[in-house]
Amino acid sequence: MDDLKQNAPSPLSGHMRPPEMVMQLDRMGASFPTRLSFLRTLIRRLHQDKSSVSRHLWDMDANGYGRAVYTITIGRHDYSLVCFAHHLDPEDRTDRVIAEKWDATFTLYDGIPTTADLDRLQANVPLQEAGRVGPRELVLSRANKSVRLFEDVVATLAAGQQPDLQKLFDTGYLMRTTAVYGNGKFGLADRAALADRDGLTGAFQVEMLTVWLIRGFTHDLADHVARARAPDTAVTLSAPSKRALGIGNSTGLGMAPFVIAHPALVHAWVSARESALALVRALPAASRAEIAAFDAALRKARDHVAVWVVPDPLQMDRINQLQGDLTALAALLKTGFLSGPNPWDRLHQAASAYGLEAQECIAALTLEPYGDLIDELADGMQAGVPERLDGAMTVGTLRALIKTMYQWALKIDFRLPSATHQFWYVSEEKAEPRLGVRTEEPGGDLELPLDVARQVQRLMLVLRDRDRDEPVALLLAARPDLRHIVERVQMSLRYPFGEVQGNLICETCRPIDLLRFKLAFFGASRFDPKSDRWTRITLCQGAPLHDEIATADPDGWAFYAPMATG
Amino acid sequence: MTAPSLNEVARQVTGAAQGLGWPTGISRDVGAAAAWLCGAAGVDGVQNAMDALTGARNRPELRRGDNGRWHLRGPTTLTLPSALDLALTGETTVIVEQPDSPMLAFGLCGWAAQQTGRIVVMEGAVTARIYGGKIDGPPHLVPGADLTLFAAGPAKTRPAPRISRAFPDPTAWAAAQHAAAQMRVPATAASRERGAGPVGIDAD
Repeated sequence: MDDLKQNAPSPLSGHMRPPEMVMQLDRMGASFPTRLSFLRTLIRRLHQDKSSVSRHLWDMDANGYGRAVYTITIGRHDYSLVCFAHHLDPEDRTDRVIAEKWDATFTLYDGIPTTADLDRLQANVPLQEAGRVGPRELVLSRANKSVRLFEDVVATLAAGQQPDLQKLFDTGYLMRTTAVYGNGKFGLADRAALADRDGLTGAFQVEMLTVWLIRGFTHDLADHVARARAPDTAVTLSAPSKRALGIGNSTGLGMAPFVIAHPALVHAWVSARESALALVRALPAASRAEIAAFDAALRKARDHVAVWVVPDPLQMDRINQLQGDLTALAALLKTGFLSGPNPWDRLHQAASAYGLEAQECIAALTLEPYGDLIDELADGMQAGVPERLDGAMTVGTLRALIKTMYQWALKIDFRLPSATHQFWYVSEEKAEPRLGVRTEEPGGDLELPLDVARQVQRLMLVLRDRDRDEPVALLLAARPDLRHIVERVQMSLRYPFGEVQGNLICETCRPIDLLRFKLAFFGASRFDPKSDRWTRITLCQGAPLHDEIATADPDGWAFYAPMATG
Repeated sequence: MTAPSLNEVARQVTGAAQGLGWPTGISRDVGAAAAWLCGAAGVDGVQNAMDALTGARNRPELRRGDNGRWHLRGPTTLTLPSALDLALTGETTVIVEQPDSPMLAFGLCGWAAQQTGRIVVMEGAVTARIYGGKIDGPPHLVPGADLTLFAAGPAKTRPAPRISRAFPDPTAWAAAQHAAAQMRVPATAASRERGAGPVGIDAD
């Protein structure tokens, strides 16, 4: 057992939060974006490269239907967002993944497309899942207008005025994506094709690049339609107006199984974030500049939270508590709290008295002053080829590993109906993951293997009857059905942050916690749950615009609140 | 259709294997092996995998021979993962008796070599050396022969990224799609009512 513990990552001077704390579902469901989130990393990279975006093609009619191409150069490679804007009947406008038509469809093209490429793409990209794309296409996406805001913005611009900033912030976007596909789906290039692409090798970087480029397209589209409607009076969106408009996203259950299916990758994300936090907590003192930077970040966070209003009563309660906790924290800091020794470690100890939202928010804020110390950790937030299981490990060692790493799973009483109340399955419609109630819906026999805790218990039962010196290779020759869970348990030793420590099939499981966890790593804000199974969020709100990416502060948009920050 | 990506091959074959009732861990290995065959060896991994997945599925027999070597007999889908588990412990040579799908055996060895960065040597039913997932020339196949397998390594170099496309036999691809669909469940109205996604028309 001691050997197993010695193999686990060593805590950073005792400041590392353990997996049994950070991989709990309720805490994951309180996640905030940090400066290591993928959008933040992308924007910093584009800024450092002094990137510029050029609009290669703008072929739109007066209604804003047509096609456009935006090109950006990253690491000596050109990438082009190809946009198709369509007429969409109101009855066809839905965020559901089974939709077949959208206001706009997109692909990120590897290079600069020719007219022939554009014609090929026009025949396929608007069809999304029903079309086929090829190895030059890196990402496939689509978006629907926020109809009320889009029309309001166009009408206001056409009248020669800027839209109300508060109104822009409240909705947050002119369009929201309903899917952003990558990594080989529907014929797209495999992720391996980007392995040597400097600047885009990090987690979800091409997807985030696509989203950021789409955001700029939505600004241009509103300007175009306003100008076409009133050529003599129309004005274009001002930079502050554009900054207030990010890009929305609707996300449902399809995202949740990803977190379970990629333990090595999730470990890379979480261990980077937790290592960053531990590095900061281990600092013996904070300089005046660092304290000032934290104070500024906290002020922005308080402003941001003050205008974070959602209809969901549970989430609104949590936001209200967060507001109160941040107010209490601000009062504490006025006492000179951060001027003493070990300020960040003491801060986190003090924050443990607050709610989970505040604890995770403070963790994110703590990282803000320390880019030089932690930003390089983002380079490790990816995973390579999945490792093969170790056939030489003995049954006895595997048993010990389970007792060490899966205590949380062994404690669950699966004899209780509530412990197996739900099951995950793949729907016939578009092959998307879904969640059913075992006693009420068909398909339990086709359950996805997301019941990790239950599988671990079943494995443990088998192991009890085997010779402790037997190698796992022989066990699996006799029981190939255990291969998946044995491999997973072995991975927990190298990837302790890769396992969600919760029962994903119990009655009280809230998939929304998994969604927020993943979306926070993307850099999403304005989390707006519509049920415990799907949510809307905002990406890029406040982020530098296409024409200012080289000059604007790449990190100044965290916890964006336009009325406070301008 | 456009030639599928390697990720599509892996997902499709994995889903097909699960739809045909193979265990999850085995299904993933076979899916990855099919993609490796397509990407690293230029072989139709889909057809070879589907042939094996729809063939025999009897429980493998494992025994220690007089020479101390492990012998496995049974469907390639089950014997090769176990043979590799044993060979990669580094202590033994493993003999797979008359593998029913030498090419899938090659794919499973290739994927294992890529995962581990080890050198995997195959002789008999398939003769090939795989260096961390990179092959040293095309494999030589002798159907009906036994396969002797051992692992050395580690390989000095990792293979270059796989960026090629797959060109599977259309019939095999369709069979894989059909088999994968066996794992899918009709979404219910109850699921929708519990909030699996937006309801009705969005016009906010």
